[in-house]
Amino acid sequence: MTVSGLVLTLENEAIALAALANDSRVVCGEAQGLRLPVVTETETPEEAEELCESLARLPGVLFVDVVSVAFDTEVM
Amino acid sequence: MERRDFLKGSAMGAATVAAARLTKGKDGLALAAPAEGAGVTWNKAPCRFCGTGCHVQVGVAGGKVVAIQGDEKAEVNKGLLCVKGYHVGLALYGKDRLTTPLLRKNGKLEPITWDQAIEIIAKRVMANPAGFAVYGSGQWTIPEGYAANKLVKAGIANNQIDPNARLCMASAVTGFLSTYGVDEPAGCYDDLDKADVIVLWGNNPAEMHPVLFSRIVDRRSRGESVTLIDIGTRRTRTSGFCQHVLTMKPHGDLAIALGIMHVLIEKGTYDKDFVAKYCNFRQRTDPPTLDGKEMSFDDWKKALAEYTPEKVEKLSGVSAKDIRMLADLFGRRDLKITSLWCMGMNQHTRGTAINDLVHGVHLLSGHFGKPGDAPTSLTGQPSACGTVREVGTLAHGLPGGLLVAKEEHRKEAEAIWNLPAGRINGKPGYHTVDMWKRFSTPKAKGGDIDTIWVQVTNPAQSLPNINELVDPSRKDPDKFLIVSDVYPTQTVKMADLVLPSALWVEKNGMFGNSERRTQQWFKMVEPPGQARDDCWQLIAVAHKLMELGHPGMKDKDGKFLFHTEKDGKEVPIWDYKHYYDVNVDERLFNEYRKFTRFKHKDLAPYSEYVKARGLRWPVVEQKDGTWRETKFRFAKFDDPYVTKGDIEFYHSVTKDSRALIWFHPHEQPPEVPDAAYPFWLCTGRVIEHWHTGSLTMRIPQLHAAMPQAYLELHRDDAKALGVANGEVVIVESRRGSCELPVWIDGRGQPPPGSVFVPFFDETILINRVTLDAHDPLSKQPDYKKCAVRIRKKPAAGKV
Ligand code: SF4
Repeated sequence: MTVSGLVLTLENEAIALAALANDSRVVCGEAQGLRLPVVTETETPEEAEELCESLARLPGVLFVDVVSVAFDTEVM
Repeated sequence: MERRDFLKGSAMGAATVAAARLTKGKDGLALAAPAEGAGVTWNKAPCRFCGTGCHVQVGVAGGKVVAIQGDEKAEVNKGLLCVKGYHVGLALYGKDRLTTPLLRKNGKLEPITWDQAIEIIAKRVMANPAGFAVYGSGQWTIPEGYAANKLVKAGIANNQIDPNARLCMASAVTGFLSTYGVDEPAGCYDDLDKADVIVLWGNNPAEMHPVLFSRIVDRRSRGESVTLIDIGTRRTRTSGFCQHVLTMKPHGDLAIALGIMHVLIEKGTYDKDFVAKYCNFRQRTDPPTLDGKEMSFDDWKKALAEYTPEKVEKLSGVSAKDIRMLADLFGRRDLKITSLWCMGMNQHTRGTAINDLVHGVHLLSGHFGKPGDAPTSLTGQPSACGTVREVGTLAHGLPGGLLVAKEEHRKEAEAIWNLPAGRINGKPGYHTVDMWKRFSTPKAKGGDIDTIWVQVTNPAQSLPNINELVDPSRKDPDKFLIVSDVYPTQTVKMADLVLPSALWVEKNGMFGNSERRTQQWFKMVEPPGQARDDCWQLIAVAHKLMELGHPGMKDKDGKFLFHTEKDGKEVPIWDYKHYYDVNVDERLFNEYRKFTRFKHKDLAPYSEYVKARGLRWPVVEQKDGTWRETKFRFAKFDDPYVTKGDIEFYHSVTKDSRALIWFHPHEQPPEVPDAAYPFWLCTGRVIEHWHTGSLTMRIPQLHAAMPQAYLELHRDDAKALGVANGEVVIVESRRGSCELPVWIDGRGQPPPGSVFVPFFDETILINRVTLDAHDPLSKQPDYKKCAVRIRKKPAAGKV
């Protein structure tokens, strides 16, 4: 299990939130203006990487900044 | 609470604070540290990779690094990290860590003990002290570099030490020295928050300094206006964010800078008051020197006269209209302009000249000395500034900007090191290319370097023209290569003796980033197997040399060069069991900081850096006993060393508090494409990998994201060569060749007639192809341009 903390810069909050709602691996925090803190939880680090890239391509999302990653094997 | 829930909560907390910070800027935000809990303890460290110098919080559990978080308290990155930074912890855990010393016997590397390894090195020195050299790195920590410098300059006294940073920023150093009389940028990253215009000279920060770049681009998403201008030889990831992309011919930057200055003079839009108060003019001499030759302003203007925008268009490939656009921006007093550059301007056979000219554009236009108005070079390595430029681990340097060639500087160093008078040798050692050339030349033919000890770098992959600079030494039984590293790099595989090193948070450390910020961290986990600190290795060799009777290893009172006491008793730090009985970093740093006063690069005591996320020098003690960093040098409003006027260049070359505006003519590179070798080759880096990839290629996610080097090729050239995306080509120069797949319309897009290859891949050594021609002053090689030919690899069986 890999846990990552991300900040999404949004272009359109409503469209982005609708797109994010479809992915159970993503938990959204409270938006700060157009910045949305999210936590992703994936099976592998590779999947985390792919998810991060796919988030950047979602409608309504401008950029994805990575804030943290935990790769603790004991929680896998 | 389960550790998983704890980590998720912690990740959300960090992301929320970072989101708030990004939205609102710096003000009014509480600083959060990651919460302790679930067996995870957190501590600060700078990122191990690039010169941006982001801070991370390192989460440790069960003696292992288990989590990385951007450090909210760090001004540099404000909690953010790039793809390399958030994987930095995994760099420790590649499967093939070196864990025991190895000696080559009958062609094979076989395990030996540390005692044997240390003795072998000491005996090589004793056998021929003059032929022993240390090749170090901008990834050395500050104490490591200081110990190496002291060993070579105060102990062995042959000055044969030079770092890989010679390959990445030496021209920036000579540019600062020849312009201001003292090294390193006057401004800092705060300029990026204030500039209205940012000019990127051959610079791709979106990939090379991603967190800095996101700091710039972020201003736009907060509604601020910032104009980005990309001047380069190919389109990069950065170009997509820029309002102006000016694609130039190789070496076109010299002409562009001259063209900007020409228009400023022609239109009278230069800053007359700034020039009259703070500038002198200079031209080069033959051979070139940092002082040059005096020139009147009128003569300087006459020299510029021929660089009309139309002529510059022919020389550089950038339109006269765009040259005028740049000059008009620099001619405006209501804008703040910051220039950024890195390898594009430094890896240049006219590197010092182009650095001088860009400083000159800023000085002539008065875009200097106010927040947002600054010419600022960036570094590629985490401590190229801290360990190389400040500690002076260059063949001609002493700590704190002092020089071995100056008698008064040697005397100062001898006093601090308590050495007998005359111990320090006044003759500079060999610069990097020369050192390796001599190592690869037989003794009988003048190859007077017979042993090189490499620490924290991978020259068999990163030196230019490795066929000539490295390979011959590996066939010469007189030559002995020692390598301290953490993984079996290309250089390790060629070594005669290998020493396993501790990495990053497996040891105490200090770095100095691109904005004069000195950073500190503590050891958090144990290194694997018998891997040990590079600094300990240097001190252990010094002590063994003393035991063997080397006269240089004692000071004038007969004490060991690295004598360390605790409670009045000597601590045997050369014995690894006792190395951490004291904080050796603290001892070495507090000794080193005595050097930093001479050139006003003052550092605070070690304990101040323990508390801070780095401090920018000069760090000066206040009346109340606190220590204050300096963001903007030479400007009265911030720099405590300015005593007269609003701007004072207090290390001025001309000793009149003025900076120098140089004239350097445009010149062609030493090798240009011709009928036989019709393409330009430029080499460089990619976002996923750090330099030679010895760490990042072992991080599965980064390896998967970019597994192999490639050749970027323009679509028209691909068509003419008859190659499709992914097909393998042979790229050949007059020096060597390599094979690699092509990438058309890839991440970077070179113009027709030009190709780009990254150097991170040890299976595709592009430095077999590059040229070792270098700048005459900085001695920095040009990896950005040489002539090559390209042909499709014949199918098996065909020739
Ligand atoms: S920008 Fe550089 S220092 Fe910052 S996280 Fe990325 S690699 Fe590390």
